Amino acid sequence: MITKQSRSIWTEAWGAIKKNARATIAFYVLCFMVVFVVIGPVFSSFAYDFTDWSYLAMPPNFENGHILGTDSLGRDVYVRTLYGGRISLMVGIVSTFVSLFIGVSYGVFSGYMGGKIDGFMMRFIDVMYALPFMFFVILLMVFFGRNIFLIFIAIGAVNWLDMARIVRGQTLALKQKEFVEAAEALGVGALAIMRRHIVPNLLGVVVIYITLTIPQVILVESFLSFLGLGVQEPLTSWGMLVKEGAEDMQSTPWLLIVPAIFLATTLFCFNFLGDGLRDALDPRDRQ
Amino acid sequence: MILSIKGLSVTYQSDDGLIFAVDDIDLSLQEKETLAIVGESGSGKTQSMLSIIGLLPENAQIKGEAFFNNKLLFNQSNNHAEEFRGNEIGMIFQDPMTSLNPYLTIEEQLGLVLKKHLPDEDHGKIILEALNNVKIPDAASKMNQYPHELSGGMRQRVMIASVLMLKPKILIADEPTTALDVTVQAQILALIKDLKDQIDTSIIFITHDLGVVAGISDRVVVMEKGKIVEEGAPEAIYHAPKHPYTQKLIASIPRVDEKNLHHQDAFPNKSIDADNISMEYRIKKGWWSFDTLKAVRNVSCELGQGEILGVVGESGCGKSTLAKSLATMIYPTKGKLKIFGQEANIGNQSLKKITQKEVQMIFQDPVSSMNPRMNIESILSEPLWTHSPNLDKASVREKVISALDRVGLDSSALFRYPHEFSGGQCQRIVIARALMLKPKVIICDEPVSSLDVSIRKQVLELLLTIRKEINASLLFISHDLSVVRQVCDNVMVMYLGQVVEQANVNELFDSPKHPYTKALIAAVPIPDPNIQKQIELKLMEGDPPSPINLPSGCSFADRCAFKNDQCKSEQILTRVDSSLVACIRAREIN
Ligand SMILES: Nc1ncnc2c1ncn2[C@@H]1O[C@H](COP(=O)(O)OP(=O)(O)O)[C@@H](O)[C@H]1O
Ligand code: SF4
Ligand SMILES: [Mg+2]
Repeated sequence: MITKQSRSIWTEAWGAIKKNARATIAFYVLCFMVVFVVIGPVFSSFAYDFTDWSYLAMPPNFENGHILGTDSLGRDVYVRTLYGGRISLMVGIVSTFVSLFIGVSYGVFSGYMGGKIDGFMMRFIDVMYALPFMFFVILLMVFFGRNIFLIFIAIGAVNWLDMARIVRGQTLALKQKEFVEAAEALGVGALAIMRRHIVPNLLGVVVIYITLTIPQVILVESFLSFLGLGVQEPLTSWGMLVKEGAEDMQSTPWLLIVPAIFLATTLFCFNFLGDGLRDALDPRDRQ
Repeated sequence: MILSIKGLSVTYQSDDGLIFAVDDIDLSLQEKETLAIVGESGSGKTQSMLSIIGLLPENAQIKGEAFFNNKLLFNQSNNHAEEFRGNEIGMIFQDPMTSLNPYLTIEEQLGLVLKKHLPDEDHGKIILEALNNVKIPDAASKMNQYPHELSGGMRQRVMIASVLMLKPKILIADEPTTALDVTVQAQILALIKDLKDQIDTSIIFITHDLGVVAGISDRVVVMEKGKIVEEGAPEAIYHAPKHPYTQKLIASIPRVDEKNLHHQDAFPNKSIDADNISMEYRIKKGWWSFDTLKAVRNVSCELGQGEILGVVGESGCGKSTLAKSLATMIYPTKGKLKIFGQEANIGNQSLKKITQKEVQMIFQDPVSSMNPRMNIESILSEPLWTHSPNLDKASVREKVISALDRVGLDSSALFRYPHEFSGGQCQRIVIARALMLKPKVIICDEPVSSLDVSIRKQVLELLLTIRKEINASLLFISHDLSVVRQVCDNVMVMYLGQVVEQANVNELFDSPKHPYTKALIAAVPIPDPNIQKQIELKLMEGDPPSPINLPSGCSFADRCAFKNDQCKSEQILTRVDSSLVACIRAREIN
């Protein structure tokens, strides 16, 4: 039957999402979330670091424009939550893509080259796994101060290890495929084979990995923030906001509830999306 | 009547609407009858049988009704099929490995079946008897082995035993020999033929290969696209088919007993000249030790320009390894291999550059030999990207379109992906890719084995025309001897990495000289019930020994019916009439 349309990974992924109601909703919610944190602050007249001395620690109130209230320094919770969202999502997405890039390159190279190179590269990964990364991150932060790039790098540096391992496994399997053998017989160079034949066929795992890693990274960032090692004031992130909110949970509960809702919704949606995609795309389940 | 099916339809809901896997068929089976259901892939053979043992997937919808011995199997509202599965109706499948649990010994597997159906009897005794019935040699020790320790043929015997030990009234065999070599296939067919006379089980034999069932069936049903198009006695179906589809099917089967009328003998210009080449793999044994696996041993052959050289033999005999060496993907560990006059070895990288362009490969499975994420245009452009990187986009596309045109596809294929094409179309695309660089040699490794019979013929004809057009040489590897007979000019028969016989095609098939060639050709089923029913197969027993640690002397000795003391020495190819034969007794026994 020659009725199906082209098999681009994105159409395939979208087809998979559409089949799963939970994943579809999660997808739309996430799109909305991204758009919202980007343009949402426009609808408020307050800047994220503006201190409104007349309304300190105000509960949500529509009349004075602080629709989700203010914190103890009089800053608008609505605007701060959206700004925090920008940072959290950015940390999540940028770190994931950094680790993706390193992990895929490393894994494909190691798996495709095979032999001694592969052995050496994989031992290196084992060694890296054994290092206490969280400890390093904390040390670095203490020495160099809190820096958002440090967070990107630190988180990306841990996550690429997983990606490299998964990708290497897939590459070893792909290397046995006849189309790779055909390309080799034709004299296509190693780099071209990796780029043309291996990487495109990894997109299934990559998409799944992206959707499952972004929330994980957001969570790690929140954890660092909780330890007081997150982004630098007056910048903020959902993790920071939740931490600050938790400190005065009894007196100013909205400071905890608002960012927590945003954070939890995002994490849930990413996980639903990832699960939906995994069910449909994971090559390990498909025979 | 032991089974009757009325108005059976099996449908699936899909994105494109309702799909009729089985479309309103009526079928009946008499006691002790052997019914053959023949049809190409996707014609609904398996689906109709799965419905009567209640193994259809959940999203299948069944219409119609079926009775077993006048007891209801299923109808519109009830489905009792499961209650009959195993003890009354048993089924075996193409790949026995999928039905066997790799972690259980044969005795444990069969024991599980017995525990469910006959909990109170002496399992060991039943199992041993069942294994003996299917002629498994040394059954008592095989009971304690795991499935992967057995050969494909033995596994299929075990499956047959596991079904028959419950003494069902119906045995359904779904392509039981398709995954096996001809010689093993012949053994299994002979077994089924024997069993037919000994037990009172009716057999339904599903196959896509009309040849296989010619000798064993009492009645043949031909299916196409979910419908039964013709039904009748084998003689009627094979000799006077009425339905156009059956006629086409019968006409498209190549026959091993018909002369090849367009073969050519002399090829003055040599493309490839292999002189006594061997290829060894090192198999890791322990921490430091290796076993040597001799995949190819002392093979000499020549491939003339424009020649089609057939290579036949059971799986694992070294055909593909030989092919890879001719494409310089691997190098001989011994001997001298000359390609286009240059010697092939790791040092000779300039030759490798040449062969990458001039020697192209066509693999068995066309679908998996194309990158699923590349469209047809990119797939066909890749050879040009690699070997003429300076060609501009427009001329690449022009060449791609003309290559598609040559294999009978039009430019609408350009932006589609491999999975959107049928197996036959995919193989055409793969052929088009091999032609992009106008190669001098095309290596076809089982090019039609994964295709349906009717498509096979078209693809083979395409290969032949193309060979004429560009005067390329073809190395044609196949385990299907009928195809080889109709296609090749000269043929080499390989056994355990060695060439045991080499001759021109009609000489080889009309008067095979080596005992192995004889057995191989005798094992090919002929799609004619009159011939096939009479043939008393001289069966070759057993399987080839492991290519690791080969015994000395003639490597065919332990399966050879003509063996005597003379055979202890190593056999080399010597001329007998116009054939080369590696058998010391060739002159005596012919
Ligand atoms: N890369 C390899 N490593 C080890 N053994 C191999 C390898 N490739 C093939 N073999 C072995 O070499 C023998 C010949 O294989 P092959 O040429 O593929 O046979 P055929 O094509 O006739 O089925 C077999 O025993 C096979 O298991
Ligand atoms: S040499 Fe002997 S054992 Fe070998 S094939 Fe000839 S007759 Fe058989
Ligand atoms: Mg092979």
